[in-house]
Amino acid sequence: MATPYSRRPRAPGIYRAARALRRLGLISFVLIVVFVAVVAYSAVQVVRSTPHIDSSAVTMEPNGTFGITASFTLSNPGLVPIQSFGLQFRILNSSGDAIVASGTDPLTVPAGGSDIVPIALFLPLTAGESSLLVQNQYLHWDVWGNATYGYLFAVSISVDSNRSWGAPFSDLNVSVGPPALMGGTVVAPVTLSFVDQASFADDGQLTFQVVPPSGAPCASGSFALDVASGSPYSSTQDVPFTPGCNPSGGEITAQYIEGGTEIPLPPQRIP
Amino acid sequence: MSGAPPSPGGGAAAVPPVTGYAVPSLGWRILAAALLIIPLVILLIGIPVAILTYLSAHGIPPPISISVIEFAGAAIVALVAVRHILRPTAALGPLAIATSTATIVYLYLFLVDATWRIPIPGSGVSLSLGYGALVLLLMIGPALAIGAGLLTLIEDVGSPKERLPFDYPA
Repeated sequence: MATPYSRRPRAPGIYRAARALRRLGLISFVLIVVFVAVVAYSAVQVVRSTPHIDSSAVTMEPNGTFGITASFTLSNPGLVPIQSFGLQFRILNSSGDAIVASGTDPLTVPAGGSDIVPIALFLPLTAGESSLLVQNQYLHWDVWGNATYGYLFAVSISVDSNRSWGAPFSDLNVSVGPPALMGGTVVAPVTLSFVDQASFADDGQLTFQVVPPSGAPCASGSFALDVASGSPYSSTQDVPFTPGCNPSGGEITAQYIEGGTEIPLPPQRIP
Repeated sequence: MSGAPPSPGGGAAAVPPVTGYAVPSLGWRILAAALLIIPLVILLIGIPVAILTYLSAHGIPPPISISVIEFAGAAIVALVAVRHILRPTAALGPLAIATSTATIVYLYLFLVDATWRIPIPGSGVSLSLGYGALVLLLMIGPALAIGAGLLTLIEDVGSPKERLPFDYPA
């Protein structure tokens, strides 16, 4: 014989709807908490993977700039993607002029993936009153990294720093000595001196012209350079002058030529 | 408060549905509410205040005033406790709406400036974390609860005590 049993009647529809909404809210809250925990765990894994900038190099570019090239390695061992990751750079020279404002294209690093962000910055040789060719100085770097992490979190990190810049022709000086008559030709000693404070060697040719106040150059010459990074350079050579040239009050213009690229140097006044 | 409305009659072979209910006494409900608010106090006040106090002590400014969190958290906890105590009454619906609205306001306080800026002293490094999307997601639960409160209010107005056998089955 079947045992009589009690059954609970079906709850009214409006009651069940209210209960369903409450349960849905609770479930959503629990899911969000679990997801945030996963994101936090993943973020720790990313930090532990130590994102880093690989060795950088500074070169003189054919477009008449200093090129700084490097790469940024970003590993994502976490469980959520890094989206729209990009780097922005702004560099100010010692005069406060912005000489670089550029950035990398945004990219996405999937969970468990890794990517290398190429960095290429081109610094103009001169900006305002400041020349990177001849003036050692501190450059102010502002670097921002932006990304969306775990679909929900907008993460931004900024780094401000001052970095020393060593000029490849630091303390550049080109001077003209007193002219003298030698074998029927007027010659004058021209002395070039500087210190290569850059991280790269000066390996090229420096040409110069002596320009008197009257205008047209009346002497020219060149120095072959092979100056190691951190080394001083000083050399003098006798240069023939056109008859009647008086360079006093004029200037010496000079160009550095390396690999087919001609880079003008700041003119030097002749007393 | 208790009651057991008569079951609809039926033949000897019919299965009688259980429609009775047993509402706990006011004392029990107060005790249950007191136990309920313990985790809420920890979740809404204790943990946020502890985190922000720790970070403030380490030179990281909190994105929101600690006293605001304490006040808003206490208001929500109080509403939850009152809602639990008055659950058998027609006040449940309005209290559920009020509690959820207060929770949304609490979350909105975080949403107003949902970017946390964390300077790392002496390093020139500054980190910022935008969590607006998270706060918006967290608002889903209270928004659904407002809907539930509205339905409960409608049910209590239309059919008073209809839900008691299901909230407090005998």
